[in-house]
Amino acid sequence: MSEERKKNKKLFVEGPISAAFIADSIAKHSAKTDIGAHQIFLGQIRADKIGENIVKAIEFSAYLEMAEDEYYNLREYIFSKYKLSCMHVYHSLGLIKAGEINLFVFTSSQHRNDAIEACKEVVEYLKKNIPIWGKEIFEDANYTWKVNN
Amino acid sequence: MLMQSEDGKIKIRLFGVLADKVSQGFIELEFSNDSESLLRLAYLQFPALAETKFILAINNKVVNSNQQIFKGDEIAFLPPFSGG
Repeated sequence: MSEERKKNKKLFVEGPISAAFIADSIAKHSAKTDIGAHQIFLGQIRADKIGENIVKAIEFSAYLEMAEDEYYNLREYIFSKYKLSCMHVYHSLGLIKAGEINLFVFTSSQHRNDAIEACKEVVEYLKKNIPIWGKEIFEDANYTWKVNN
Repeated sequence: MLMQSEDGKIKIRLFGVLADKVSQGFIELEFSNDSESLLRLAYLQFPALAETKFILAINNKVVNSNQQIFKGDEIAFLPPFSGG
């Protein structure tokens, strides 16, 4: 296992993910000159219309202990399948308003295919296996629990 | 978190819509030796749980078939995930 994989990575951040945070993450990689490709996925809160209601925000919660275990498994799996230089995944907890970013997946590799494919698989794995729940809050303060497609 | 009550009951963590159904983040049940009997007991005492599909996790691992439960195990009922 490489040093990069062994690091104890943090998955959750409180509140939305800012453009400045994303820019800073990119900038931090300029010293890693073996990297030739970055792939980034950003999840943004959509103002969905559900019946007559418009989603104003999503409040995210998680089963933290299990999510950390699953995230570790995800890292092991992705690093064993793809040739990555590094990988960062951040998911928001708490209230995230429509238009704000709640998911940031950032994979880097020597050549583009590994970064691109790994990034896509991380997003799918996360949605399926990591115990996170979104409560969709409407403009009138009523809510419904989000269902992933 | 201590999952064992002093009276020998087992505490089950609930998340998302399930916590809404019973208006709290956990339920307490008599100790059961396996996951299927625990689920039967849960549905009997908290019928509102049957309104939602959920899976059971023991010690942070999803249970796909009947599994033995040991004292001190952490048990959680998890509705469908909706992260991302």
